[in-house]
Amino acid sequence: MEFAGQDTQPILRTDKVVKRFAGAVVRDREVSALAGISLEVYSGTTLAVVGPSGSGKSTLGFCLACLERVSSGKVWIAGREVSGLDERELRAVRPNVQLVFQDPASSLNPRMSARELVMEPLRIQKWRGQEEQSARARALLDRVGIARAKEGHRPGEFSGGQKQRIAIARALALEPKVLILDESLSALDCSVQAKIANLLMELQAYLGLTYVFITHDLAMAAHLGDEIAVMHGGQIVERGSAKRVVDAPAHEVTQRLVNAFRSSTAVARLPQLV
Amino acid sequence: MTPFLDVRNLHVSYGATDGSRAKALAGLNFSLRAGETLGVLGESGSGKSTLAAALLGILPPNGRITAGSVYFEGQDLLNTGARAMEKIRGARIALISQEPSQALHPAMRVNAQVRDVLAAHQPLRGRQLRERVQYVLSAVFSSETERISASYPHQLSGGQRARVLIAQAMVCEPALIVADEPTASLDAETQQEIIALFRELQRKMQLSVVWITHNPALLAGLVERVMVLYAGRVAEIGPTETVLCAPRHPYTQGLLRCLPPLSDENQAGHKMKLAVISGEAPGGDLDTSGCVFEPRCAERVAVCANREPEVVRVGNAHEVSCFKAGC
Repeated sequence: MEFAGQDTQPILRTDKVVKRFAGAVVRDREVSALAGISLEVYSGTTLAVVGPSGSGKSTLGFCLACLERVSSGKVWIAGREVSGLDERELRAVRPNVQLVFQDPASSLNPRMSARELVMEPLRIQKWRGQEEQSARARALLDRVGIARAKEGHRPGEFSGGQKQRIAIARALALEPKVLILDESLSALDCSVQAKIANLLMELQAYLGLTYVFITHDLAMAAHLGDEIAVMHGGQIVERGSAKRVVDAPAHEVTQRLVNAFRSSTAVARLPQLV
Repeated sequence: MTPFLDVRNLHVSYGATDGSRAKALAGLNFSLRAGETLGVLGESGSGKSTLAAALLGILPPNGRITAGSVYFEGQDLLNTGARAMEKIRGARIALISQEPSQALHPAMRVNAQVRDVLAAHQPLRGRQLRERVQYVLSAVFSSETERISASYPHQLSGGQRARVLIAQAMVCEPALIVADEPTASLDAETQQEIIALFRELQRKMQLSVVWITHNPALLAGLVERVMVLYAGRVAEIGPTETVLCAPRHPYTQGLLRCLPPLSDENQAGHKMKLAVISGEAPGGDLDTSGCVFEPRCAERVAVCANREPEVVRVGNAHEVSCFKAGC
């Protein structure tokens, strides 16, 4: 399968990334959340990362977003090696990779309006003046489908899907190249998931975004992902085109995942709906 | 013959601080046979969690049952006093709640949490009590029972916590279990394990089950019948396979079309958009003179905005609240 921009350098690249946490709480030893992750993601494509709980998916997301430092190994963002940068240099890099979390109810400050929420990253990064920040926030909210009349409302007045739209608008404020979508659809109703998935596809086509979509919903991974990486025990045990991984899973972990999915969904996903 | 569980014309509303009341359930009807399993499928605001709370008599202080009846094993639950209800809850009707991480006491060992449920309802003491608790825990944990029994919730995985909740719900051998999305926060594989375990115990104990979920994919193979809720009303109820494979209500049809297929059948690697239901689910105010789904329905006709649809029987035990279903 060919991906856009495959001839150029990847927008994200990691080489043997290891992340260890001091395991004082869990056990009396260090815990390796990531045990040598090497991957590359090309601009404008989606890498879906699936795997059971505790396989290291979210840690990988945090490392790619430069919010966790890797214990060893290297991370490149848009060709620049970021694993060795100091905190001040990282601040300049972070706008390139933004995160959208699972639960918009807890990731949005309940005391700020939708517009203020989207303006906040612009304010922190000192992007132009307040007027322009406000105008950009308006445009972004418009893009993700939040009505102009509701810009002044606080998160509590929005539905779950609308909150996630606001979180996406905020993530886009600094014109990132990459979005890390960490279970961004999991907390939403099925009918709302479909709408947000469609929005993500529109935004990707329009803005040329690259997605790392972390999920345990294999069907959504196959739907949004160009490639799927299957994680287990801090490693990528299988990686390939979404279609290949789902139709012909090679690794045992992937096979279990696909089977768990097929058995639970066998009846519900029959195509002959009226 | 009176059904095992019979819910008639159930209305529940919640009071807001400004004195207004928002309807959560608006005339719910369904019944359950002893040993039968019913899936309740609904999205946010459909009233599914309100139904669970109403069945157990644990509505929050601002929630009120304004009309209807709930009969359980011949007893009128809505006219049962608080003390008598305490004897039923946990013993005859048990809840498996939504968030395993929040439903357990963080500073009590697992066996103590199961023991307390049993001790509250049965006059067991000492060794008898311990043995019964151990027996139930060994039914949900096939290995490492001892270690897990003596653990605190934070030492357990999400799947293990879900198993503890199942042990708590089953320790008194209830007749009915109300499960409110107990697997929603688990990954797919663990979800399947928990459901398999639940099914096994349910069959052994001949339990009746009301399993509440927002995920239609979960219900296949888990329950015999599915009731689809939309905005506090039953949109459709029928045998699981019929409702999931040949739904007749436009809402159920739309909901199932939203699910991405596991393998996209489309060619050339082009990603397709998912089908969606236009508009948003109504929040709070469910008062309408017509069908509550009408504003979002692609198949609406003139009558839909004027009258609430009657329940139409369209097949064997398959009922739909839609004007189009009658034709």
